[in-house]
Amino acid sequence: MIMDTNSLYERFLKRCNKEDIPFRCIFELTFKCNLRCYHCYNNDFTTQPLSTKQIKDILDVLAFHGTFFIIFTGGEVFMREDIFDILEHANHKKFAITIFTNGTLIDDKKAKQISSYNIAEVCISIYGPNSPTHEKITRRKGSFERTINAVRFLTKYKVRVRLKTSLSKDNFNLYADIKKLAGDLGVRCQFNHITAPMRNGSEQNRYNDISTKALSRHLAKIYEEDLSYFAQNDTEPLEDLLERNVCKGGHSTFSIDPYGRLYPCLLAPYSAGNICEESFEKIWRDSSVLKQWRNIKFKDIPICNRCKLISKCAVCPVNRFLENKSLEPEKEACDLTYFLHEESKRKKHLIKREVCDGKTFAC
Amino acid sequence: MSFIKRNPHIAFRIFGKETIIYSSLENKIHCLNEIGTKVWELSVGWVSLEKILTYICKEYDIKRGKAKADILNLIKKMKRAKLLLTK
Repeated sequence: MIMDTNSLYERFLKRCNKEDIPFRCIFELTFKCNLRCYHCYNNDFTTQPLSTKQIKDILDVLAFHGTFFIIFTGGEVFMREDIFDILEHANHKKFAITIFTNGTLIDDKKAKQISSYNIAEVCISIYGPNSPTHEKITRRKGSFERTINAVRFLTKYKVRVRLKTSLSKDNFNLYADIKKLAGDLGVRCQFNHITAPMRNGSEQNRYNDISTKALSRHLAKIYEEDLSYFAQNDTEPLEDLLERNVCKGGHSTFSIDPYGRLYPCLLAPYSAGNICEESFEKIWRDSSVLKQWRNIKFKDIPICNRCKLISKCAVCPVNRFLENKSLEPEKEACDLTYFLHEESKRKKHLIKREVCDGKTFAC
Repeated sequence: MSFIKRNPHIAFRIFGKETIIYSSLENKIHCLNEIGTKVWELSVGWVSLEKILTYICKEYDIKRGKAKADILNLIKKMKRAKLLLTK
């Protein structure tokens, strides 16, 4: 067989991680945003962001070095007047593009333009099923209507859209209504209730967080899609897993901020270097930050390295550093993993079918 | 079908002997091995099947009959996935 959508690709992803091929990039184009969501983790608005030319040059370099999946995020990416220049260039360079946006600046004309590119998905933030609930979090009047209109425009032009919702004390009991809204709009939705701390480690964006324990009655419904992953049997022996790298950051994934600083991932506290001052190749090959990051193995993670659920857990070194200033696990993530594991065991006979029916790759 | 060409609207990256292709039409990732990658490289503009077949047989020392069946099968799959245009 010389064309394949499954085993060859899985093998290729392993190759990316083993050979440190920078396959997937999260590129923050701006920190400017027209909304004021209270849980936002951005806190640095001081420096002049990259120019159009600088961004295009970076995209050229990334394409040369093998970056294929690119996620454009912000801030709000459509705050940049040159966003379509950037998308056009990324498309020309044959990237598979995902856009994270609040949608408020996307009208019919822009949606049509977006549909002409290689867009894997447009992920749109939504926090409630109606204006009052959504706008309580975005703190901008009229944002709900503009966001919903964007979903309608994009789906009209057959762009794949996913709604993404951060759940907090203000909206956790509305998840079923948000799911229904997504269904009515003909798009998928995804929830998360664990807010990332701010980049500077501050917790001031988390005052309205809701705990995993408080959500327990709802978790199975909220994380329905993750249950099929938990239901799969482990194929890798534990001793092999412990020797494996914890995360793909610095191996096959990385991020670039609006000022050109490269990080192993979006929230990593230390930059590996600035791509406008040093070559990408030099940073990727020689940066001590990346070297350190690449060396974190499952066996190095205290507590988790003795946990039977380690293979299922989303062990995230960044969140741990920001939250605990160490690699010790975050309580909320532990609670969630434990819950999903128990739930998947309980419903295994139902979940198995979903796994078998899965035909396409989500990226 | 005598000529093929890559669909210009498809995202892809060539990694030495492997190619990763993403089709937003189907939301699917396709992976080509060494020979598939060679076919992909050759089809940058309109190219005849005859030319591809001759190149592959020579480069990989494969018998024409076997190569033809495999390559036609590949092209059929890629055409169905709208990765290739044919005429």
